[in-house]
Amino acid sequence: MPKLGVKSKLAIGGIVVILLIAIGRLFFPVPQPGLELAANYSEPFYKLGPIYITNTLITSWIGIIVLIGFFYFATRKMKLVPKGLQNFAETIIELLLDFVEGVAGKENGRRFFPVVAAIFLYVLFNAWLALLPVFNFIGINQMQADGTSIYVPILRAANTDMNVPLMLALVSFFSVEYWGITSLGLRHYLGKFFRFGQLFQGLGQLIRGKVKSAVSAFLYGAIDVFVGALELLSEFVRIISFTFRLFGNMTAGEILLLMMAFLIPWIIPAIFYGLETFLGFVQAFIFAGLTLVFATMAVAAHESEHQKS
Amino acid sequence: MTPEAMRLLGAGLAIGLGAIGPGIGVGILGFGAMQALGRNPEARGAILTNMMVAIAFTEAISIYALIVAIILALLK
Amino acid sequence: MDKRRAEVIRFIGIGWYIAACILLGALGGRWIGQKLDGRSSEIIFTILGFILGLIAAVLGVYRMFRAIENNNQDKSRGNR
Repeated sequence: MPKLGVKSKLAIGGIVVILLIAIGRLFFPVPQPGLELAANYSEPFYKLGPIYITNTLITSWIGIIVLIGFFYFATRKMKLVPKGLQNFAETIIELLLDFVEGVAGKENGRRFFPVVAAIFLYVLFNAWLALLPVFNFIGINQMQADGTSIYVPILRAANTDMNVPLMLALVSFFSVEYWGITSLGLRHYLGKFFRFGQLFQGLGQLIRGKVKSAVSAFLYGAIDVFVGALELLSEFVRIISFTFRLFGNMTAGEILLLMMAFLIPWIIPAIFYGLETFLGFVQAFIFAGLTLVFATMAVAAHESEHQKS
Repeated sequence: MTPEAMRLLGAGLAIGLGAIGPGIGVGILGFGAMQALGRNPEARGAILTNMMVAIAFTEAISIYALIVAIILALLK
Repeated sequence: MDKRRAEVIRFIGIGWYIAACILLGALGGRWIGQKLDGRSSEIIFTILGFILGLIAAVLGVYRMFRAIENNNQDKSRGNR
């Protein structure tokens, strides 16, 4: 037989794989996966009093155990010159600390670092844990309320349950408010949202008789109040925006992977797994980064624009 | 038209029209980033990071549209 | 070229090793749970099996990466 070069070997291998896939699609068809959103899907397994234990809850527990276990084993017998697991953990922490201090400055960075880094690592681990082979696959049959039995997987990505992004968004919201209030004091911080200073100035000028400047002060005062109210509203809308951004990205990714695995097995899902890995990292980075940016804006002193006329 | 058909039509329209805006937005962002990169190739890290953040913002809006489409099409 | 190919196959093997460890752990746990005949024990043993498979995969990958790094270091040291 003539000696085959590398390129023809690759071509033959590719043709064999495509033939296998075609034969598999023709002779062993699989039904399409049933897609449900987590809102009515993560069936509870047990009831501990008033709490339902759903499959996403179990997954988030596994994520917590993995994180805590990793850092526990990395910080046992700490040495000054690190090696092994401690080295790896220190690399991660140093990267995150550089990023946080780059955005928020040195001392504020230290204050924000625990919460921001914890949010980043938690979202990242949850997103990447869901790419392992076992998720959304091994499950049990459960009887539903209306008599039909559906197949419920035991493990499911924690970020696809709306509760987890909502919890993270609330944590981020309360942390930002807490940092703002402890940095600036309650009155100054609330003064960012309720800017009645200009209006009262206008009132004072009206009493003193300078009508013209009073009118302009009233105008600017009204705009100020409106801007303050908008900022207050945007603080609350941020919770919803954070939640849906993370939830939507993760759910869409999960559905995408399911569909891809059932369309063309073996080749195409590999590409999409890479995309999902990258997307998980980006979403974690965005969540933590936005929390950091809003915290930095919240502790910045609000220069009052009162005009003395 | 039956409600079923309306739901599916609504789902298609939701994601179809909802992805136009963010698509154009991301394109404009990329254009601005490319221009900035061309003028100052040394600031690559900063430009890339900020571009990613801005893209995540605009993409969130198309994700909202996707959620509406999924709810319309798949939930009973 | 042969050394390169060996390394590539090694890395592909790591991926298969992770998947096999985790799947075997989870499926083995589920099988044990089914033998014990109860819906709740099936779930718990599946999860336990998965965690064990995960630990085995992580340790194995760590050891494999260590082996590759030692190999490279020996080679670069032998070239002097």
